[in-house]
Amino acid sequence: MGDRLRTPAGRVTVIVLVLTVVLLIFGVWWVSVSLPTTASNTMKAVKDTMLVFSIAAAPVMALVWGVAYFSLRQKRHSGDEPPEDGPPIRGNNRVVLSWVLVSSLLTLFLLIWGLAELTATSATADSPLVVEVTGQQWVWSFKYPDNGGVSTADLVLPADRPVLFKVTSTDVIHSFWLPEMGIKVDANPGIETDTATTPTLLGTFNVRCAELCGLNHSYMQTTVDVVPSADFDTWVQSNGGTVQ
Amino acid sequence: MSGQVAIKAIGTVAVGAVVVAAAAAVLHSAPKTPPTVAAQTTGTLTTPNGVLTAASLNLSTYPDSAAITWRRTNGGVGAHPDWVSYGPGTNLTVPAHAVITVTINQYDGGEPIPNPFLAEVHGTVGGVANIDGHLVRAIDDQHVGHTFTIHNFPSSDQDPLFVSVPLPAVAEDAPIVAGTDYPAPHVVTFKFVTGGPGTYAWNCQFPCGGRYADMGDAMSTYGYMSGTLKVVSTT
Repeated sequence: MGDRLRTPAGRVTVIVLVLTVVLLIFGVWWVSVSLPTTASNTMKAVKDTMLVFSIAAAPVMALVWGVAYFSLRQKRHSGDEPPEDGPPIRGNNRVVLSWVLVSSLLTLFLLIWGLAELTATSATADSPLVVEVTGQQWVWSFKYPDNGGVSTADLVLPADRPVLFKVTSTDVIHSFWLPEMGIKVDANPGIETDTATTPTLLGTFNVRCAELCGLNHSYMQTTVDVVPSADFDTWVQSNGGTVQ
Repeated sequence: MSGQVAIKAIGTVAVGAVVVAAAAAVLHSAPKTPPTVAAQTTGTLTTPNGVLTAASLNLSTYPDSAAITWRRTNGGVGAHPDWVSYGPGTNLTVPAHAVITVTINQYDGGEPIPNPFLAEVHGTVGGVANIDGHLVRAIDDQHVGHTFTIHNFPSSDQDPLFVSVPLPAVAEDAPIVAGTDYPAPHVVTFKFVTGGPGTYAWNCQFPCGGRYADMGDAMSTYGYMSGTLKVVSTT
């Protein structure tokens, strides 16, 4: 066992295993601290995807870094005269087959995972709360067509109810970004783009423009208040709207 | 050979110095920072939030920036006399925790506003504005001159503030008032309540600037249709 670890393959294996553990710990930690609060099912899907992709990428990254580190550290030549090239390696079908198979399975898994999450988060519920989102230099405005046309500059949403955003712009391209809800979609003039989510956390979160859109782009932000359903109905009525 | 190199080096430095001096001269002759317009304290008002300081702020909107006094330096009319502009200045200061009464004399014409939301009054006391003596919650979105819209600054350590008031367009065939260059203005008055100290941006939301879908020129240059609103502590 000790002799095996002293071979080049053994040393690379140890380095790769250690790096894999380090990268797994780092990946899990980084996903937990670097992404905003989870305030919707979309953001949960985003975080889950980031976590799974980080875990899947850790051994691959460790293998690349491990081999590169071992090669540069152990096989580095010092001196003026470089040695002759070693004999070429050809015809190792087992390695080629393993590499292609593992890469294909890994890529296929990530593709299926990504498509499944995308389909799940893009699905529109049967009776979502429709909110028309309009971007204009340099204000967001929101209209609730199914609630008597209530309009507001501060987005208010009921918790645990699917929401369908219909996003457009009156002038240049903006980007409707709800960081804590994992929503970011371009607001294009003359085009309506739909995106959906379900708020899952009560509180006040950010609404920002993520597309440089002119002089006061940095001021083009407001808030989204996620409130209990009863409070949302009260808010609608207090703004002259009707409750469905 | 070394002499030629030295001459080239000196020449390069000299050309650079001339360029820098020219840039400095141009910048020096450019319009100065708009003056600060401070709200005048007028007393106190009893509100649902208690007794608050009352202050007033007077502004105007002109079809040409040549009407703005601070731009007419050295007998001129400013760099862009044909640009629309707010006046007398665009850097505004108001007291914290106060009721601010804003009066805007609107001298400019207008057109339909792209987003009807901005033809509505938002964020004022009672959700209304007084336009030529009438309390309104919105104006005709087909005849909007400008808006006065205050935005949140991207910071979580100051109170949120969003105020947007539409200013109706002066009719194209309105007669010029004798002794002036403009028709009689629409007089728009509204109140809003400030929170704690902070810095906000305000601007006109009606595309009135020319070029780039009318969002260029005066709309894309601080000091004409946009500026800052500083809420300052009075204690």
